Amino acid sequence: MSVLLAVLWKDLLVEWRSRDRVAAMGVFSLLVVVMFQFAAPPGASPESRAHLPGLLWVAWLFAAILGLNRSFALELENDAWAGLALAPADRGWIYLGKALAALVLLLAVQLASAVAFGLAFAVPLAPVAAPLAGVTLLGALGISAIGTLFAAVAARTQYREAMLPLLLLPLLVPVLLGAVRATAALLAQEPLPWPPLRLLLVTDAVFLIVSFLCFEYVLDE
Amino acid sequence: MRAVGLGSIVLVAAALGCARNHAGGSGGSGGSGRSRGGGRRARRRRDRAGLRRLRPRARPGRPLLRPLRRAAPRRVSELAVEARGLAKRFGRVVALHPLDLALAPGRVLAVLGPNGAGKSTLLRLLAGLGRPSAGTLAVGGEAADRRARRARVGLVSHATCLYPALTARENLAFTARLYGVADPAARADALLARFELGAVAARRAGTFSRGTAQRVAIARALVHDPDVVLLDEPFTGLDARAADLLEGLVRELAGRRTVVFTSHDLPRASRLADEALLLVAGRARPLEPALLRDPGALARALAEVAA
Amino acid sequence: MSDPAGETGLDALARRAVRPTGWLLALLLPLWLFVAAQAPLDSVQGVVQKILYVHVPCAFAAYLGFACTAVGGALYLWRREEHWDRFAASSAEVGVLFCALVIATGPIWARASWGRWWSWDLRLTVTLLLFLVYLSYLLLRSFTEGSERTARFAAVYGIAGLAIVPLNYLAIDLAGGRSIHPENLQRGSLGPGMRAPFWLGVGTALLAFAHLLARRVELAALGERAAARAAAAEAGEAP
Repeated sequence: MSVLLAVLWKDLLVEWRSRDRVAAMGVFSLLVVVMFQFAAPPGASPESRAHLPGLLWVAWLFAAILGLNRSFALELENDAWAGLALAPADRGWIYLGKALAALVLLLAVQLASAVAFGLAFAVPLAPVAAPLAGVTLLGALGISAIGTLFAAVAARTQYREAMLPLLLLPLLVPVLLGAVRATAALLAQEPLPWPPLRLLLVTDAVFLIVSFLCFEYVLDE
Repeated sequence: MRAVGLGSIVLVAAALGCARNHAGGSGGSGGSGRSRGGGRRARRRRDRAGLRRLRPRARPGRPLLRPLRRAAPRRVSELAVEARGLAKRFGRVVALHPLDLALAPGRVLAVLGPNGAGKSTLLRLLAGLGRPSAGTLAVGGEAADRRARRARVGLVSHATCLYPALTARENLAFTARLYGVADPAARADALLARFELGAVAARRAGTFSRGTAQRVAIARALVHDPDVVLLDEPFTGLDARAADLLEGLVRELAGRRTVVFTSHDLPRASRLADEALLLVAGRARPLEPALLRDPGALARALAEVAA
Repeated sequence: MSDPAGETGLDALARRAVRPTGWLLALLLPLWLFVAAQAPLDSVQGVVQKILYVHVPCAFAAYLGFACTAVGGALYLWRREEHWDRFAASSAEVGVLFCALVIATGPIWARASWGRWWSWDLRLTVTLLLFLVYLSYLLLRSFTEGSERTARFAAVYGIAGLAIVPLNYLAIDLAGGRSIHPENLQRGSLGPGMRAPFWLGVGTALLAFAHLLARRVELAALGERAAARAAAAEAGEAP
């Protein structure tokens, strides 16, 4: 447990010193949203605006992948991952520490970009702020959970960072679907539907369990 | 359909959990290293006695799935490092042919050989970074599982394992927390003082010279007070003064601990080492103990063998 | 350490299975083709309906393939025996073949029946996602250095991929995947005379899967042994 906190604190501290991950993630998600405005501008009608939640989540997804790549790039410098691998601690806790750090950073980026998004596309977020925060948390948790595991895998392949989207995107479909459905319902001023929420909860649980158990094998030589 | 799906997921997770325990990774928080934590020490004593422990830990969304752990038989060896038939294969490439090693506590072993002979592989196996392909290995008396062995060992490799954005003190404190050392901050300060790193304590590791980084890396390896210290080519890249300092340090370490190091610097190796192991193309070759005292003869023997 | 130049139990099983499954397949395949050709035409869909005798059995084989990949991976992580890794890799290769067949035959049928090549309906989309996971698995294997690391990473990905399959069903079901996918095949309301070719097709596909898998495992094992002998000979030459 203390290992988890130590790793979490270390990741956040390193990030605080350079702030490069959040900056890259934040700018990236904003860029994607702006690009979309030029590529397929949503008009005023509800039909054309129906894709906005999807757009937002896809932007967050790619920003998250960017951030996850960086999270292991910092471990590869000076072979610091070997320092983690040498510790007698259960590697599952190391995994959780890193996943939680990735979650915190992703949430920070999501918060900032959601505000910008709401302003840019005149989407009223304030009335649904609380449930939206919950949905965002669950979605980000799913992404961070499985993403941290495979960021560790991808960082040590020959493709390095380019491998992560290949590995991660097919696996993130349930998270994306659940999060987008729930967000779309919220933005349409409907009550939060249970099925997407259930999907998110189940997916998060499965990802956390599988990753916690498998990290042991990933951190080996 | 859904029940089947979810059931299969849980089954797979349970199977993985069993596999991990069977493969010798003991779970639960903290390893069975020598921690000075008060409450934890009692738990670890029970652990060492090999009692079963069921750790129910239900979290929202995560079912109880850690099965009972069987108490692994502990072979207590008096030797610091004992290896029998230790081998390592990376796919088809045999990095290390089966070798035997017996090293008494407090001794200094030099592992010599040409490049690519498998010296680093051997050290990394001893450190518990990789799983041996064959043979048994006991380090610091622990044979049962890799995690227990890792608690007894400190490794200093080519790379420093330091985070460039963190200061020396923060790096050491983090490592102390990672190893479950009680009062990490105090330990970090003690190590900084011991290695005369006070001047760089608050500087980021990314700014260190090779010699300083090396010293911090060694301090880092000693955070958890290991019985066995492994040094992979520590003298490489150091100027003469730094190398002399390091030699003195290693001599000091050797008093209480067992040291295994690799080096191409034969004069230093012959001064420091009590025993030597010669590795050529992954095979251990016999080396006359007398050769160790004579660097010139040693160099000739090595050149002969490498040809 | 397991002798890489020796044959393990699994490899021997694969080697011995090649002939029998091959013969059985040679017998079953024409039989199935004959029965499928003789099967009554569907009153609504006509002859195109017969493509489903290929489509659905291949789907069975594709899913079985992925299950074998994940199980092989898990067994490798547990036992650290390389033949399990070879089994997982071979299973993925054969499975991706059947998966590709499913995705190729689906649109053919859809086009003839509904005039559209692709519709994002539940089962086909999940199979497409499975195909993508397979492809990523094979890419991961190609681009990782070191066979031990490859085996470990691939095993972890295989297991994660298997966990995804039921989740994807849940997910796309939720997305209201248009289920114009014919339900009748699952509900057992195959018409009279259609059951035989269908189940025969399933048997043939699974047998074909087993045969191809056995061949692939045998090939991989032979390759390993040959390379190990070559490496040993080379090392033996060096003093």
